[in-house]
Amino acid sequence: VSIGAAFYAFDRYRLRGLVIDPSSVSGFLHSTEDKGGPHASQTVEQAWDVVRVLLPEAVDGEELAGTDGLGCIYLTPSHVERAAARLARRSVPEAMARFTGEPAQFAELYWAKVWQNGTEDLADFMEGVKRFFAAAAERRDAVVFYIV
Amino acid sequence: MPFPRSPRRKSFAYLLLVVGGFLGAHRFYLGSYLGGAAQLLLLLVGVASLPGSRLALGLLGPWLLLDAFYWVRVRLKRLERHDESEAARRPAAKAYDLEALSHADELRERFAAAAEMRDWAKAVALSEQIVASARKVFKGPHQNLAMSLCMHGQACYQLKSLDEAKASLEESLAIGRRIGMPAEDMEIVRKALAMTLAGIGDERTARQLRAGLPAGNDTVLLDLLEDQEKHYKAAFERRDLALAEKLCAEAVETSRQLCGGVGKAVVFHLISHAEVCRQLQWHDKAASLLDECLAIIDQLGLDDGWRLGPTNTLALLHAGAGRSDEAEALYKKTIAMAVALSKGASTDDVVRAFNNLAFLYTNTDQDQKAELCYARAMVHLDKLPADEGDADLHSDLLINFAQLHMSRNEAEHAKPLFERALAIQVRSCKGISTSAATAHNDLGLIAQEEGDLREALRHFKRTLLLNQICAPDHFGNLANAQRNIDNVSLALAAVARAARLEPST
Repeated sequence: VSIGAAFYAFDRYRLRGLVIDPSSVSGFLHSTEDKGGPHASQTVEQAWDVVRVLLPEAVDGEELAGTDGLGCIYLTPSHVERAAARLARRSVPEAMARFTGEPAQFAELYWAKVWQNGTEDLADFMEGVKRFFAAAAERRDAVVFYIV
Repeated sequence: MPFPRSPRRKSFAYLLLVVGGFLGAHRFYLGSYLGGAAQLLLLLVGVASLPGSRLALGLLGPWLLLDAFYWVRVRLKRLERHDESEAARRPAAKAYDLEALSHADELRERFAAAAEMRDWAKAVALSEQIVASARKVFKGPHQNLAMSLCMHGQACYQLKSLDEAKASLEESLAIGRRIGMPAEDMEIVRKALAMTLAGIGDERTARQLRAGLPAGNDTVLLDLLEDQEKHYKAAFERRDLALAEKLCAEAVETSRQLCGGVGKAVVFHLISHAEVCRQLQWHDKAASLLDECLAIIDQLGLDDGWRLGPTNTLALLHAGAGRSDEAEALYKKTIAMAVALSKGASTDDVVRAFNNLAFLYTNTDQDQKAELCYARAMVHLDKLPADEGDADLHSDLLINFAQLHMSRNEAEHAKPLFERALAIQVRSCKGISTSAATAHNDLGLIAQEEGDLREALRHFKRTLLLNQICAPDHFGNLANAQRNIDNVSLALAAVARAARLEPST
C-alpha cells in the first residue's frame, strides 16, 4: 500500500475544533461541503514528499499530532496567505528543472524515480497546489496537509 | 391514652333549654343551627298579632318538650362519640408522621453518601425505600413525594434502568404539575426526564423537553428550530454577527409558532437575539427584545433563573452606553438573584455576577471596589469543584483580576493568576482559545519586564498562533502579537550581537 497526501481548504473557524480534537480530522476531511466539510482539495498523490521539498511554502505550518493519518500539518489563514504569496512567486518549470537536473540530490524522496520519469503529472500537481493556495487565500480559508 | 372530652357541657345545654329554649338557644349551642333558627322563627311568628299565630306557639311547646326529654341527650352522646373518634385519629397520625419522616431523612443521608460514592445500585435501593416511605406518609400528591421520585429516577438513570427512571420521573412531573411545585424543582425533573428519554431513544420528546416546549409539537417546526439554533450559534462563533442576527430572529419566530405565542423557548431565543443585537451595537433593538423577554418571563411566572440572563445583558447594554449607574444597579440585582437562586452556595452564576460588576468598576476607574468584587468572585471560584463548570468564565475572571494587578504594576500578583487561567484552558480545550492567547500575551509582557526575553518570545509566538487559530479576523490582535514578536526578536538579536562583541576573558 502506497502513501499519498492531499491539501484541504476549509472554513477558518473550523480549524480550532480540529486542533483541539485531532482524531476528528479524518472524518471532517472526508465529509462533503454541504455537510460543513472542506471547500476544496488538491491531491498530490504519492508525490507528497517531492512536493514538500520543491514547494516548502505549501507545508510551512504547524504539525498536528494525534490524527488517524501518517502525518498532518495545518495552516492558519495567516499562514495560507503567506504561503499563497510565496507560491505565486515560485516558478514550477524552474523547480522541475532542479528536480530532474540533479536526480541524486532528491533520490531519497518517496517515489523520487517515478516522478523523475513522469514529470508532466508532477508539474500538474505543483501548478494545482499554487492555484489551490491562491483560491484558499482569497477565501481566507485554513488548510490541512494530510498524509495517509 | 385518655381522650379529651367534648367541650360541650350537658348541664349547660339543659340550662340553656330551660332559660332560652323558646329562642332555640340550646340547639344553637349543640350545633343544630337550622333547628335553632326554626324554633326562633316559630316564637317570632307566635308572638306576632297575625291570624293563626297561636298555632306556631302550639308547635313550639311540644317540640321543646321533645328536646328536653330526648333530643338533647341523644345529641350530646353523638357529639361525644364524634369528638372521641376525631381525637383517636389525630394523635396517632401525627406520631406516625414524625417517625416515618425521621426514617426518610436518615435514608436520604445514606442515599446522598451512596450517590457521592457513585454506588448507584445502593442509591436505587435506598431511593426505593424513600419513595415508599413518602407514599405512606403523605398518602397523595406532595412535593416531598415528587422530589423522592425524582431522586429515584436519577439514580435509576445512572444505573441504566431507563424504563424505571422514566416511570419515576414522569410520575414526579405529574405530581409537580398537580401541586404547582416550584419552577426550579420542576426544571430539575424535566432535565432528568429529558436525559432519560434521550437514553431510551425517545429523542423527539426529549428534544421538546430540552427546548422548553410542551409535548406534542410539530416535528417539522421543531427540526427547523433546532437547525436555526445550530446555525446561529455557528455564525455567532465565527463572528458573522449579521447572519447570526438574521437566524436568531427566524428562530424567535419559529419558537413563537411552536409555543403558540409565548413560552420558554421564545424567551430562550429572545435572549440570544438580544445578545447578538448588543454585539452589533443595535442597542435600541436589543433593549426592546429584552423588555419583551422580561415581560414574557413575568407573564409565564418564571423564576429568577430566567431573569438572570436578560438582566445581565441589559446591564451590559447600559455599561456599553456609558450609563454606569444603571449598569451597576442591574449587576447588583444579578448578584442578588444569583445568590438567592444558589441558596447561598457558590455557583458559576454567582461568580459571573461578581466578575461583571468588578469589570464595570475597573472600566470606571473604581479600582478598590473592583478589587473587592474580584476577591469575592475568587472566594466563590475557589469553592467550586475543580475541572467543573464554565472554564471560559473561570479563566476570564482570573485574567480580569490579573489585568487589574498589571495596571497597578503588581506583576507578582498577576503572574500566578494568568498561569492558573492558562492551566484551566489547557484542561478544558488544550489551551486553544482566545483566553489562553490573552494569558500568554500578558505572561510574555511580564517575562519581557523581568528580562527573560526567550520566555517572552515563546509566549508571544503562542499568542500569535492562538489568535490566528481562534480569532483569525481580529486583525488588531494579530498585528499586536506580531509587533511583540518583532520587538523581542530585535532585542534578542541585539543581545546576541553584544555577546559576540564582548571581549572574552
